[in-house]
Amino acid sequence: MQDLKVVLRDDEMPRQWYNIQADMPTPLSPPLNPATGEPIDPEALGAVFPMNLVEQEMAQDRWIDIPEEVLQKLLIWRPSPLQRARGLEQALGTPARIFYKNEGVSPAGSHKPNSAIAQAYYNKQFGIKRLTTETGAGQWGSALSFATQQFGLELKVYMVRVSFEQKPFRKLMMQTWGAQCVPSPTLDTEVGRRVLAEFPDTPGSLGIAISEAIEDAVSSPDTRYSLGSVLNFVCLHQTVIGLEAQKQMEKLNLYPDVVVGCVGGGSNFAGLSFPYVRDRIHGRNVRILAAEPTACPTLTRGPYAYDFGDLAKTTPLLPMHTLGHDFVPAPLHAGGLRYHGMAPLVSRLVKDELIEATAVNQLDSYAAGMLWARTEGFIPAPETTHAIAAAIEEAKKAREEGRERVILLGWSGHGLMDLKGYEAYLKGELTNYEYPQEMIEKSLHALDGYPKL
Amino acid sequence: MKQARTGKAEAADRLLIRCRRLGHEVTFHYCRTQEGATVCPLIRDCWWQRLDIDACLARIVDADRLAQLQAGGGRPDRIGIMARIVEEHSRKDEGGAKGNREGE
Repeated sequence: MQDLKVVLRDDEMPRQWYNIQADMPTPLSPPLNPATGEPIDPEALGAVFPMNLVEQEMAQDRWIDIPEEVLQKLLIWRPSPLQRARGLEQALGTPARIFYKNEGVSPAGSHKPNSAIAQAYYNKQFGIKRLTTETGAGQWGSALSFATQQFGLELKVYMVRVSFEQKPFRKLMMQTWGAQCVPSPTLDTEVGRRVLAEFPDTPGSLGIAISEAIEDAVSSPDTRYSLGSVLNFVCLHQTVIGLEAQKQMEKLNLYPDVVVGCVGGGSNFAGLSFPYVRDRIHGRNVRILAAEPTACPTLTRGPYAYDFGDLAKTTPLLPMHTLGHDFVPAPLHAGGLRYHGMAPLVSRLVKDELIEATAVNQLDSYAAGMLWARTEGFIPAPETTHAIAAAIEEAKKAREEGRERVILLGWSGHGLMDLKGYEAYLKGELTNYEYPQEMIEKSLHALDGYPKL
Repeated sequence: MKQARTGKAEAADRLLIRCRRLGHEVTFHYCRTQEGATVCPLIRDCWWQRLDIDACLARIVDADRLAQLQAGGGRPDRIGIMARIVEEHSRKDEGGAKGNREGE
């Protein structure tokens, strides 16, 4: 029998979070108020978040103590195991050793509770009685529902209506943990009433849900808003993942050649990678690789535009060329960091070339998820499959080069609530580019004659 | 009232994509009719690889909106939304509306 995983004892869990702002070669610019163009006053954020979290957002200390009460709650599922993906290695015939940090073992099934627990605690400490948030598929909503229940806080989750209808089990998870989960838009807020008056059948959007949750927070007593990605303090709370991984790899006398994670909002990726980015800043030879979907990329758009011709050899862009389309990729966003939906810390580190970004198309990512499920057993969340696909590419390269390589993969969550996505893949409903353009043109002609928006 | 162009674009409308913001599959129809009648500000980012999205958008939105989408305007920004709502709320309070956070 060969060892398959490294499990830390409870008392070996890290006692401090790592704040990468202390080590960044380029300091992060403050967030700007879009209306004034001026930096947002931290005091103004105090209307939305408790001041102890606002202070953490601005903190420059390298290490921040994890409160005892937070540690105690994290122990429910942490330290999470570091596991070796031997089945996948064998299937790939690679000399690479692939390790993964399994964040799917949390009660909500993903890394999200790492910050949800901390945010619930800090709100409670500040005297807040009730939180609001928004959610799409419900990963964050369910994580925060679990966390607020642990600290005796009320929670109202504005779940985008289209998600509310498509994800009944996530909604039930939230309700099981005692949260109020409502389909957004609602009649409970001004913004919701305004949208519903105009579009009674709207499926909702994340923008409306965010607006409703914030409006509720700033206009209700003892209430604040909670957010599970993008912000610095969220990334900070997640660093427990990478700090544990470092201790676990140390027990194996190993150090990764490459650290791979998927990026959505960036918090899971930040959590695994930032402690390693610190090592890289201090001269360690480690590659840090962020994997995102080719659809809606936030980090890789520039390279895509530059490398269009090369990529056409191997990607679904080829048919678009051969069909003679005068398609031009959307403009580069080189003028600055792309803030929408992505943690500025991650964007900055990509810009500073401390993190590499790669894009994976949806068929390759689901294929990687299927291979993982059939070799390692666990069914990964669709986001996680992007990281798996990128890790598989690294393992194949190692095979081609005949080099041993240690790959550390962030396994951010399970996909048991996302089986509809797998169903769509298995039925062949998910595609990369296959749609015959003439059919699209034909169908779009049906829109002629409608007034323009 | 604006009319949502739920229309007859069935073929393209049925295409599925995983929305990275929502975390589940959505149809192209959803992306072009969000919030009743507005297209998602990320529609070009998400569909550029699979559709001639600009030609498609030219049929759906007017030239100003298309130019705005091409320039990356109206992209979702939580911090921006926060700043705007907090500002609106402060203005209301300053305007004599009864503050309702007195419980804190």
